[in-house]
Amino acid sequence: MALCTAAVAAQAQSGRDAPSLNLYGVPGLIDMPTADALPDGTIAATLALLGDSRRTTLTFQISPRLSGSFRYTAISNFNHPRSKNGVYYDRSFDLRYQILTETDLRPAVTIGLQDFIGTGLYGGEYLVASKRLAPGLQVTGGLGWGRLGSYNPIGTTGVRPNVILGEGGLPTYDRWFRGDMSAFGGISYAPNDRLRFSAEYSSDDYAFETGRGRMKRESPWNFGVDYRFKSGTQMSLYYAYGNEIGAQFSLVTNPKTLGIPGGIESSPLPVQPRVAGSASDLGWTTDPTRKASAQTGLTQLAAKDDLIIEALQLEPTRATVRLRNPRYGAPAQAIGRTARAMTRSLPASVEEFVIVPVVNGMPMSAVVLKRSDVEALEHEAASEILARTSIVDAFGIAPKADPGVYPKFTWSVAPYVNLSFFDPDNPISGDAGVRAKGKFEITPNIILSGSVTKKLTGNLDQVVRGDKSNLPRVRTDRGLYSAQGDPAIEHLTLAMYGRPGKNLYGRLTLGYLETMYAGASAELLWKPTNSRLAFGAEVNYILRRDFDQLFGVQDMITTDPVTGARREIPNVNGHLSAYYDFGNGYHGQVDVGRYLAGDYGATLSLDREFANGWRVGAYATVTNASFEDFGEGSFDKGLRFTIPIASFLGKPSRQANTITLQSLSRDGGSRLNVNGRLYEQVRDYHEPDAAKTWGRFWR
Amino acid sequence: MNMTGLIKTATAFAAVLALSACGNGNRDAAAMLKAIPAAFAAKKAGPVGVSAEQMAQVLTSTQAPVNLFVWESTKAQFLMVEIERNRGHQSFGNAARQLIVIKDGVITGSRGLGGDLMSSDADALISQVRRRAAGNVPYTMRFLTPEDVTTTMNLNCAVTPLGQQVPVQAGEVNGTGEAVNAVCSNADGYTVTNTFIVDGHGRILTTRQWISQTIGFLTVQPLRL
Repeated sequence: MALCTAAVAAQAQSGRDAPSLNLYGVPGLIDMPTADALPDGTIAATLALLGDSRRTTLTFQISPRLSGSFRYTAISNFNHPRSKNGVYYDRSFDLRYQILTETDLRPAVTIGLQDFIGTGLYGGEYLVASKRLAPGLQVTGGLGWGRLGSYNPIGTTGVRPNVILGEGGLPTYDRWFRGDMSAFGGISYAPNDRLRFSAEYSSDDYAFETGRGRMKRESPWNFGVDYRFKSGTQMSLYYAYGNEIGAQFSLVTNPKTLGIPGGIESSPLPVQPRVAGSASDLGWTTDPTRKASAQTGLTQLAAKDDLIIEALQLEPTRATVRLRNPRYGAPAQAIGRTARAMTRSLPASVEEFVIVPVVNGMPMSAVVLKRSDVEALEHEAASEILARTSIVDAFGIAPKADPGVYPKFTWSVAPYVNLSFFDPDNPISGDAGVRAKGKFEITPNIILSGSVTKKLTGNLDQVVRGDKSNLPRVRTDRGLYSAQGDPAIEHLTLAMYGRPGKNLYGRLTLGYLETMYAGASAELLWKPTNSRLAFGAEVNYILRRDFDQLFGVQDMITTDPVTGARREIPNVNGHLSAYYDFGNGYHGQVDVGRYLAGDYGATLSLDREFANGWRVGAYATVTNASFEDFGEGSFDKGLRFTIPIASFLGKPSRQANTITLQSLSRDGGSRLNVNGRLYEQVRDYHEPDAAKTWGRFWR
Repeated sequence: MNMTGLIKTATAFAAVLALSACGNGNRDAAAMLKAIPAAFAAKKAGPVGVSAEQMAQVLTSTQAPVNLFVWESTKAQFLMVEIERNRGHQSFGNAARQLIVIKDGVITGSRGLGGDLMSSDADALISQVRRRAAGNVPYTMRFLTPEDVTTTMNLNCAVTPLGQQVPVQAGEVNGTGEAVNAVCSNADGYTVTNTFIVDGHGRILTTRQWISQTIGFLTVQPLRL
């Protein structure tokens, strides 16, 4: 019988030579870093304990060489004015860049900035080199500054200042690679894919922890053992600094490799090729029953794939379909399945398929296919059909929805959890309860929708930030809304969507726009179907809602609880936005305008986007509110993660969860949270986005 | 409430309520949460055999070509009936809405199995195997990654007729063919061996073929060609 010699493809990043994560949740030995980079796209969450220190780190490999980490630290039994009940909380950001990749002769070299924003508890910089000497055997040596240059320095490079810039939260560029410099290093050996033993010499003297905490540092030598599961999950145990025990647990995932390739959803319908010569039969055009049965057939076939045909316009040689896709995250899959259903239901003379996906009543694009191409290319590479598909503006092309499709009412009742992370007083707080949502689509593009929550448990109301703000309290009163809003109307709006012209998309939303503001919001977006660039404009007229989040509004004057200063929230705010898809999975957005507190400025957002919908991004907002007026953190910045649930279901879904980790919720640089912003709805069905997952056309 | 307490409460609460979530809208999130306990409790499905009676029943119920498939990694056996034919590719389907596409006895695609073979360029391989001639031919397979990006695997297949005659008797198929191996390798050295039994008319009577990393090998036994 046949033999299968399955030589596993060269996977330098797996098995014995896979990078380990250290106590800081970055590639490293025990407490010290190595020059390793994780596989591109890796997301690693690490919980590490060392004596009284608890570090929770999220590391993302942004590009093959660049990675970023966000860390939340809690140190118990710590004597510091900022400690709460003896626990000192601190947040930190790291960036690492692999300058040189490893070759047979040279080591990998990485430059790292540790805790480079803010107060700098872990502030340090390093240059580190790592080399594999044999399978599983790696040596590392590096030079460290800051914390990593605090023990047994071998030299010095200038003076390292220790003043905090602004109100914290700014890059500590004045310190980088300055002051004392120490050497660190170590060795690790992995006898197999599961186990790894490490020993290192640490250049961190832990002055902060030994001075204010209970730690006693008696030795620079650390020892550790890692165990790695097949899934990549890592567990480690350490003996460190002469008398501390450490441990860590890391969960590792990667949007590029998570889930079943291609999914497990049922197969599409096969294409039904036409009988030769049948295309010239136009007899059906005069027969209304055949026309009607074609539409019924198409609607039923599409419904088997959870696709909704809202209208079909049949001409002798062309069919235009108005399509709603509540199911497929990859637009190509919805288009492909619709095209397959069309081959099985439409008269043979119809040669041109025009599929118009519609979202909130707006035709997003017209996907034009030749039926003979669909027939000829069913079993060929998906790139072949993409090359013969044109995606054009659907302005004025979409047929009207058939009578009976609208009005439509949908509702749901489900649990909710609202979490607030990393507040200085409370590392994690949240509310949980029940949320009822309703949506009444009066016409395809006029939608009345609302959401009501009833809290059952939680402590968000305790997040009452009594500290002063030099701006109108547009967000710092959040705790009052949480405390009094039970039940709360999260939003109740009438939204109108439309296509005011070619390449243009519009939205007008009226009502209770979000938890804190009511009013009106208008948006216009320009985006050609083949463009990576889009421009948008949004203007809002707002009224401050009552703290109970029911139907009332209150005046726009806020009173500071510390200074008693009264400040007015302006009624008008808005932004001009530019969006650009750089390709290769990078996306940028700039918003310039007036924020809620009346401050003027700009938000810059950068995201790494994966074709399947995962996104990891960062944003920063700088406005004319001074760092002092903004308060702790100096300016607003944060990280955001979008996680599509299809990765976990193994079946297509358009649902995704977005989690934003904001540095601190302050009043400066804050925007209105209105639903239904246009760009994300529109870009999906435009060529640059749709082409990314075109392989799903035939799936 | 302290942090751990809150998380525990919130998680338990969300889990309990997810099970009771309701509405007439999209319920994917609830579906996902509901699937979690099942995922932990799930046992590997035992091999499902196809009996001679089932084969006979299917053959009498249709005039279309019928195949018996054996999925090696799961040991599952299942029958599929031709439901469509397009430019030489036969689509075989079953009630579970899975599809396997076959051209002249060689699997060129699959759908709904998970880790599907999305398409392949197999014409050169098919012709070489059917001629039972030794030689090297190119062969291309395409897959989707979990990121939904298409990857292409370019292979080179060394086709070797093994000389031995093998009797094949299944359903309405009754013949003898020669075993032909196609040892296919890519540039990284990944190698798989596909085996075909080819009769004197160049018809493939049995196929054992590597489909994808996830699926592994499928054996195709036509019961009616």
